[in-house]
Amino acid sequence: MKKNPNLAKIQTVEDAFQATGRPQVDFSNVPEDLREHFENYYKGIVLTESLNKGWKPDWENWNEPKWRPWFRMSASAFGFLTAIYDDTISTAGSGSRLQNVDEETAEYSATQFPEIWKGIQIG
Amino acid sequence: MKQLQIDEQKARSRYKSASPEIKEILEDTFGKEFFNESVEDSINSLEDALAETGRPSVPDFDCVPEDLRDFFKATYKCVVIAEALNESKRFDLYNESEYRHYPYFRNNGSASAFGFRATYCVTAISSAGSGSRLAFIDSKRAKIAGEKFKNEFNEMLSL
Repeated sequence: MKKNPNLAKIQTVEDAFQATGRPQVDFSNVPEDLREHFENYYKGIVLTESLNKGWKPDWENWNEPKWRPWFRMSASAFGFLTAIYDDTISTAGSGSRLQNVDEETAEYSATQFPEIWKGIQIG
Repeated sequence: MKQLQIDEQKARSRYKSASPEIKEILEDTFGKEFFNESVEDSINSLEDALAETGRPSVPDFDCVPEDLRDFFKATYKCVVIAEALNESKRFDLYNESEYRHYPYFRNNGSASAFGFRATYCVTAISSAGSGSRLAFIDSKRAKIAGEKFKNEFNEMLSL
């Protein structure tokens, strides 16, 4: 039984857009070779928002873990590796918008939506 | 008679693909040393990074909801800065012998204390959001990005 009720509700990217009320967008004003990266980044943000139950990371709070999925980079077997948390440190690309409220949510996001995360990495 | 004017940023970005004759003219005008400068020394601002990469200025991102625009603008800046410092080298993320380096930051419990902390590198793994666009080809460049472009990374990470 999942503790985060949103995980059962968000099964597809469309569910995430519907739950957040965010629009689908067109990144045609971004250089063509960067579009895949930005499109997937946007989807990742919308997805994370939809799963986090309104939670936002507080970077001034050392006691609050902020969870992120990690991936195995393999052309044939790209996939979820583990979830790791930070407290008040962050690295390039790990901003507030892609942090998860708990480990379960980070793992669900990675395993249910690998194409989005792969698109950010490769795009 | 028409005159051609070219500033330092444009001269540097055009030099790489210029013919030998044009290179000679540029070297006579700006000096050979100017073109031997490494990107670590020549990339000191977002404008330098845009000129180095030939990327257009930051899009207004009016395609995304208003509350996300500044975040995407900040991300675009960091992507261009990384591309410039990496001299446009793209990563093969599936290559286990190719390391990607990232700057790490700590805010020490206060938004005003945000600062570069260290670099780390990975090979066949990656975390959400990191990817190839924000990675650096060596720790020296990751450190330069973390120190010289601290404000741009702070903006991207905090918005």
